[in-house]
Order: sequence, then structure tokens, then C-alpha cells
Amino acid sequence: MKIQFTFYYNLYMDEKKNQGPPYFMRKIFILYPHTIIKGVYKEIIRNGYDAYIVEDHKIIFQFLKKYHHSILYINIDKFLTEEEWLSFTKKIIAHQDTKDTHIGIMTDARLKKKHLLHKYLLDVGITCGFISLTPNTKKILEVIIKILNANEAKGRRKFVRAQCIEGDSFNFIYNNNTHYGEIVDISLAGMCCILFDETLKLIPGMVIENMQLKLQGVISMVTGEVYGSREITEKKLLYVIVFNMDTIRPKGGENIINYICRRQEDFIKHDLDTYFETTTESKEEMGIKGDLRNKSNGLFIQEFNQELNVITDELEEIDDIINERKESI
Amino acid sequence: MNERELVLKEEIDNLIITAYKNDAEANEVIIVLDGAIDTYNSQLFEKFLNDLIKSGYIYFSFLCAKLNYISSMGIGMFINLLANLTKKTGKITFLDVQEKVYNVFNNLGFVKFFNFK
Repeated sequence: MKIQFTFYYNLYMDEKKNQGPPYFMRKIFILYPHTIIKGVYKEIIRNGYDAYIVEDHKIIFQFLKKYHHSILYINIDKFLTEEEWLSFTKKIIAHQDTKDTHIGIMTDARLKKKHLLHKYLLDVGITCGFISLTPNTKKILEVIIKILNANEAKGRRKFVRAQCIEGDSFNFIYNNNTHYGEIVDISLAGMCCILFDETLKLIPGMVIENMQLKLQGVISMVTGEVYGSREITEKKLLYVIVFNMDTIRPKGGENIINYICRRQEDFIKHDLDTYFETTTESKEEMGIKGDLRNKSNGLFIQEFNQELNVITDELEEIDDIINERKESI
Repeated sequence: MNERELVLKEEIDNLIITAYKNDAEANEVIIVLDGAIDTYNSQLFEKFLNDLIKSGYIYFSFLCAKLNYISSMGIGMFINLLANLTKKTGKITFLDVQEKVYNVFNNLGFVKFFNFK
């Protein structure tokens, strides 16, 4: 019976996978994110998008090959020249293993790269847009969320779930005894966990007040309700506990979100290490540690001039504000 | 509208497409969109539009008052259509687009490639 169920379940899942997203949450890779994007990264995760920051364009192919239908946002203001980014993008679209990647471009609005809009959107044919970033964090987050929604990035899962590591645990008091357990995975909405005391059984609907969660040594408090369970061994049960969002302390689940962000980083590192364990390529061959040394003087000067333009613009804006205030005084 | 010649009526997933021939302009088709254009239905929708191009239509006017969602895949499909029509000196016009749908075009930077009325 179990074999038959597994067979049909696999068929069903294959069918869903073939349909591609939005059934599954898409991975969003943000390559060389601009400072503004780094500033809102945590909020992107909080909004339920499975986003990862990648700081090396040479390794991105490995992720795109592995995670089909991913979304890749590239900050074209860093590292490569305009022409190099264009050919990099074309290469991803043309490659058999990465052609289903959805690409978007991000650039600082102050660098005035609108002349590339036509090239990327019409000539290259990227579908996730050409986004000019302005230094207004609130507005940028609003736009990014709308864009990710248009990219159908979330799928049907509403929250990003992080796999926990050894030592991530929880405890609660029940019948005057403190019970301990291991957290298997966690999101802002709830967690999967195992109780150390196998004799204690949690019943669906049971409310567990003031659970203390310990994630990489950082404590959070929350009240949760047992949603269900399934057997993982003869004696052990895996429980699903749904959090009461209003009871999470610190407020807004800040510690849980910070933990998920750290685990997203770890995920990238782990995936990459696994890749290098199974391939003959070395990190040095991929240029992971040698990028800065490989940069040409011309590229450095170009980037330096871009930064200088941004600073000059900012100084002019500050001057304007000061002048306006002087006039009003 | 009812007096115009109906050239296509299809329902795919959550999108209803109704296309009429414009009596005043032989190569123009008026397409009423009702629902949402997303990953699931955009490919089939593109196929219908390409069939219309094969039938000789090069001016596409989309009535979008009832179009309540468009994904980036949907916009990508319109970009492909635009590329095909540009070769034939055709044109795409969107009419009565809801603000939230227009904002998707705008946020992704595609707004300047199409006519919105």
C-alpha cells in the first residue's frame, strides 16, 4: 500500500514539478546586491521570498543549473563592464541548463543606465525587469515585493523555511515539568520538531504556551498550537507546531528572521562546498578568491568614477536641502 | 461590440480571451481580456496570438478593463508578440488598463515599449 502511495505521489509531484513554478517557491538569487537591497533583504525574507545573496558571478551558474526556474537579479553596477554583463546575461539565457532562469537587472538610478533598458528588455529578452534603484528604502521594498509577486516567486508556500542545525532546540513547561526537543525546521509561521521525551505525546489542537526556542544560542519566546504529527521512527514523532504570531518575542519574530537569513547564507556556502567536493574544479580555478586581483585598472577606474558620481549627486542634494532650510529661516 | 465579427473565443485556466475583427481597419483585432495572465496560461495565450498574426492581423488592441493580474511571464509573452509585430510594422495598444496591472509594466521597466490609452 505504502509503495503504491509513493508511486502515485511521485507521479503527482513530477507532474507539478514539470509545470514549474508557481507551485513551488522559486529561489531568488541576488547577485552583487546594491547596499539598498542589502538593507531590505531581511524584509524580503520576512515577506516570504526565498532570497539568497550571492557575491560572485562565477559561481552563479552552479546554482542556476541546480535550481531550475530560479529568479536571478543582477546588479550591473558592480564588477563587470556593461558589455560583459550583457554577454553574461545572454550566456545564461542561451545555455541549455540555465535557460529557464528568469533574469532581472538592477541598477542605481543615479548612474543613469537607462540606455541599457532597451538592450536588456527587448534584445536580450529578460522578463524580470530593469529596475532603477532610488535611495528610498521604503519605496524600494514596496516595489521589490510587487515585482517578486509579478514574478510569481512565492508559489503556494507563504513563508521561508530554514533547515535547523544541531543544537537548535526548544523547551516548554507542561504539567510542571520542563520538556525539551529538537527543532528540525522553522519559519515565521511555525516549526517541525521532535520531543526528546518519547513518552510525551502532543495532541493536535493542544496549545503550548511560552515555548522557549533556542536558535544558534539566541532565544525567542512564542506560544504555539500543535497542528499535527507523523511517525519518523517506531517511537519518534515529528510534530508540526504553528506559532501564534502575536505572541512571538522579541516582537515581529526578529530573532527567527535573523536566524533564517543566516541559514540562507549557510545554504549557499554549503551548496558550493558540496559542489566542489563532487567536481574536479577548484575554487581558485573558478576565480572565487582571485576576483579582486583579476580586475583590470580600467574597471577599477570605471567603478571609482561611478561611486564618485553618486557621492557628487548626494552632496548636491545635501547642498540643496541646506539652501532650502537657510531660505526658510 | 456584438455586431463585430468574432474571430476567437477561448478560455484558458483563469483567462477568457475574446477577439473581434475591427470593421474599420482590416488588419486590426480587438482582444478583450478577462482574468489573469500568469505562468500557466501565458504560453497558450501566446499561441493564440501567433495564430492571429498568421491570419494576417498586425494591429492588436487589448481591452484590459477586466484583466486583474499579469505576471512577468505574461509581459514576456507580450514582448515576444511585439518583436513579431515590429517586423511586420504592426502595433500593440493596451486600453483601459487597471492601475495595478499598469504598475507591473511600469515597475519592470516595460511601459515605454507599449501604447497605453
